[in-house]
Amino acid sequence: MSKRSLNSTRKTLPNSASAAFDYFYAQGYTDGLPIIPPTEDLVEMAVASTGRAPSDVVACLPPTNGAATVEKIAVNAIMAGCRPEYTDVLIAAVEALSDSRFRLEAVQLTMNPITPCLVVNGPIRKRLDVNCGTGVMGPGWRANATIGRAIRLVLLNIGGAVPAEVDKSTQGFVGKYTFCIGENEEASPWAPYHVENGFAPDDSTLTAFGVNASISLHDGSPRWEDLLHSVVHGLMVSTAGNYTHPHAEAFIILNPLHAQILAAAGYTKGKLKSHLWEHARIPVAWLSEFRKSQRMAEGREYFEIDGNVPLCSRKENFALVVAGGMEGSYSSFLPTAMGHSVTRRIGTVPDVKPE
Amino acid sequence: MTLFTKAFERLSATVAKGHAMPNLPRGILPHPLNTLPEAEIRRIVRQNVGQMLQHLMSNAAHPVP
Repeated sequence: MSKRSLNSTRKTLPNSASAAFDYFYAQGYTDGLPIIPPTEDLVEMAVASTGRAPSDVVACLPPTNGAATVEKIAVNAIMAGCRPEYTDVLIAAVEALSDSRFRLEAVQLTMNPITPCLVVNGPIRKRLDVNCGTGVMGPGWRANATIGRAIRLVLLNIGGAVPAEVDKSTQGFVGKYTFCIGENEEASPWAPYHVENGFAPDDSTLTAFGVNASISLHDGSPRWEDLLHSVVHGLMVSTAGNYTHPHAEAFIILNPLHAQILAAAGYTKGKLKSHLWEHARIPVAWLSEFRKSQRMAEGREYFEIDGNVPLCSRKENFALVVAGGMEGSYSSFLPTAMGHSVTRRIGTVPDVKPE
Repeated sequence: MTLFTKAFERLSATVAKGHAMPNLPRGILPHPLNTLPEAEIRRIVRQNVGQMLQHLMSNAAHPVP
C-alpha cells in the first residue's frame, strides 16, 4: 500500500512526544491521556493488517454521522496505543456499535453514564493476549487497555461525542476511558457467550454491551446457597437503570469460581437466568414516584408482578459472561438502560449470525 | 424546530448537523428548569413562545436535502 492511498490530513510536528500530545490535546482529539502520534508508517501497518482498503467505510457514527473508514479507525487505534493487529477487533466493534439495536446515538448523547463494554470471545483472545483472567477489567494488559480506549477515541473523533459538550453524561465514568475484557472460556463450566448466541467455538467475536458502573457481587462462601443469595440481592439495587428500563439487559460477569460453584450445584446458564429473573425483584415501594412513572412508560404489562418489580421484563434479558481469576470471590453486575448488546465476528468476512 | 435548555446548545447543533439539518431553528431556554417553581417556568415559556411560533412558521424549518 502506498502512503498516498491514506487520505488523512498530514501535520508536521516537532519531534517530541510532548509536542504531539500538546497538539492533539489542544485540538480535542484525546481523552485527556497522552497519545501515540499516528504516523503514516504506523497507520499503514494497521490498515494493512485488515486486508481492506483504507477508504472502506465501516459505518457512519452519530451524532455527527462521521464516516468511520478503516483508515480513520486505524488512526485512532494507533493514538490509543494499539498494535496494528488489533484493528480487525476495532472494526468488529464499530460494526457492533453502529447496529441499530445498540442505539449508539442515544449512548453518545445521554446524561446516563453509559459506555460500551467490549467482550472478546474465541481464539483471537490468545493470539492478541487479551486478558480474560485475574484483573480482567484492568489494569495491566495492552490489548484490553488500548482496544477499549481506541473505541472511545473513535466515538469522540469520528462520532463527535465531545465530553461535556455533546456527551452529556452527568458525572462521566472511568469506563469511558476504556472497557474491554475477554471471556475466560477455559475456566467457565458453561458454553462461552458467543457460542450461546449461535457462533461456532472457533469463531472470534466481539460483543458490545452498553453498561453503567459495575456493582460488586461478593460472597466468599463455598456454599452455592450463600452465593446465589448474594447474587440475587446484589442485583436488587433500586436505582439500577434496569428497574426503569425493563427491556434492557442485565449484564453479569461471574468470576470462574462462582460459576463453577453454581454449575456444580446443577445450575446451567438457563436455570440461573430463570432463578435471577424470578427472585431479583424489588418491592414497588422502593421506586420513587418519578421512577415508577418511567417504568410505567415502558409498558404497563411490565410494571410489576404480584407487587414486585423484576429487574428485566424476561429472563432472556440476562446476559452472563465468565471472566476474571480463580482468586477471591468477586463477580460483577453491570446495569444497562438502553439498547441491546450486539455481537460481530472478528475478521473481514461480513458477519452472518447462524439461525 | 428543536427546543432545549442552554446546557444542551452544542449537543443540539451537533445532532442537527449530523442529520443534515444545520439550519434547523432552535429555541434555547435557560438551564436548569426543573429546579424552578412552576410559575417561573411558565413565565419563561411565555417569554419565549413568540419566538418558537416564529421558528415553527419559518421556511428555515425545512431541512436541506
